[in-house]
Amino acid sequence: MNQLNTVVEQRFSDWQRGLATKGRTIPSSVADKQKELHIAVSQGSIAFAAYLRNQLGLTKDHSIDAPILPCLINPPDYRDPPFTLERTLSQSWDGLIRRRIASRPAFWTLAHIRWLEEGQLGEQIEETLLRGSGRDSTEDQRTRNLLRRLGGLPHVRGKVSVLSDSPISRAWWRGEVASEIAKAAADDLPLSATDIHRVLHSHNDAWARLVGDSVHRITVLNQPRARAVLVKLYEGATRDCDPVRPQEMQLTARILSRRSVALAIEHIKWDELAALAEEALELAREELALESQKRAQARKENSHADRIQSDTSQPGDTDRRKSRWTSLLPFSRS
Amino acid sequence: MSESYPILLEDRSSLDWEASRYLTDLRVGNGYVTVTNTLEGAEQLQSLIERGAAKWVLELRCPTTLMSRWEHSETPVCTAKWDAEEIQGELYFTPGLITTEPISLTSKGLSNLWTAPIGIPSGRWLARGDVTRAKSLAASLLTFHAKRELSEGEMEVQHVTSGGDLHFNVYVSEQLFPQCPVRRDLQIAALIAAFGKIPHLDEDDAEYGILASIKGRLRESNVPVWGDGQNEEFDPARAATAIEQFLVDPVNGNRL
Repeated sequence: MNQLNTVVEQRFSDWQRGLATKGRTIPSSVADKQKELHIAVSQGSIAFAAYLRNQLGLTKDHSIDAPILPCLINPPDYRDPPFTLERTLSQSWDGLIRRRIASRPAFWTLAHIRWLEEGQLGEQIEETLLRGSGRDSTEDQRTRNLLRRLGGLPHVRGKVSVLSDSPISRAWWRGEVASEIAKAAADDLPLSATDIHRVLHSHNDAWARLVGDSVHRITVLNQPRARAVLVKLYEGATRDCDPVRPQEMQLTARILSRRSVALAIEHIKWDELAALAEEALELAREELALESQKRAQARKENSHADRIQSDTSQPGDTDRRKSRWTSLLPFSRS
Repeated sequence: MSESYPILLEDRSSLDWEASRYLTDLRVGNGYVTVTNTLEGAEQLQSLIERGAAKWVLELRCPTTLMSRWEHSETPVCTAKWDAEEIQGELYFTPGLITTEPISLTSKGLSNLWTAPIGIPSGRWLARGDVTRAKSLAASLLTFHAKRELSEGEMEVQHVTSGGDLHFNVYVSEQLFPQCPVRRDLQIAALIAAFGKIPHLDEDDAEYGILASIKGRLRESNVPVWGDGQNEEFDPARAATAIEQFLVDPVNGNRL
């Protein structure tokens, strides 16, 4: 199952690039291809699967080596899989899929071809694949929804897309990482792989922090014990009814990353690592509170200056006075 | 919250140790990496290793597959293996020396910035090597350039050694150049041409780590290498494609 033909992968990349540009301008050639895609989707699962095969140069005789879904999935559950579904997917595919293939959007798109041909996504595939939050009324927005869901849109959203944009792929990766964390911290973290998966699923920001930052910026987060201690922070915060905000966790991760210059996170005692993480979270909260106070103070002073200006201004004089007042203000507006 | 301990860095950017040096020699093979760690003038660190208070480590990290793994060694040579199925894209190696128990350093060898004794808990870096990124052989050996003087569809390959290791510049016509990142046939053709030049280089290939790596991988695959009177048996096409294969288009019945 873990082989992917690179010619097919190249065709997949070309197909995606023909359907979604990096910028906001949509050339007519792209718009035409988007229309073709939408027509194919509107014709149902089998027709759309045939369209995908055609785009990737696969005849109907090419068998696709991908896992089947353990159950039929309805549109809302597909777009935002509940925890039980994620866990079912993860456990059904345990040991079948390796990380190399799972990091490639083409693999998940091929898997979708199989699921479409076997009717596992139902017949409401427009609802499943195209529909978004309700604000995506254009063909371009819906096209991007579909491409992200099939396996990610790497040339627009980077390597993290397959980990976070495709619901089924995301479910697998969350299960995989949860298992790894559970094994790495088995002696220290009293949470099972299921519990950890639940934390990663329930806290919308947890997964974004762990994978987004670890792929792009804070690669020390790839270390299993670093992840374990962040999961502990999320879990502890929930228990104490003191949720960790996204900015707080991001800054906590950065602080821990700076500490890894001196300490080898994977090799220090768990109690010490947990204490360091708590300390980092506290520090992150203090820093953010201080920044928030400064911004509030700046807004107050700007507002005061604006009131003074409006009390003393002459008709027709507004712009000149505004620029003079701006230059006198101690804080600059962003 | 902040911790600060003396650390010996391979890039010598740290002023903590006066006359000590930490050097690494990294050899990447097919699915493995071997690091040979050398300490010069760092008797305190050496004695920590000898009494088991410090050990050599090597971290493998692949951000694309969210993978991080550590290997340990009590000897200066540390080997780590990986399965091709667990990595995708770039793979990074970070070697170093860490404490395995709380220790205390004296001032011997340390710069005047430090006041001894210095207590260092377990799990701290004592020495850290440069982070090395593993690339495919083709990416390490070849760099493509557009050359206006070449007619459409032409290519030429020239070797350079100015960067310290052996490298080949591949010049292609301006029309071909945009296709180079995505056309594997062009990449393999260039690699074959580069391999064809290797036996005729004047340089001693023992000087170039990349040639040693290539020879090692070819021997592992039982593919004839150059040199030692074997140049007639050496086939650049066979050697290049043993390491970086051409793509195979799917045919009827092939699974994907």
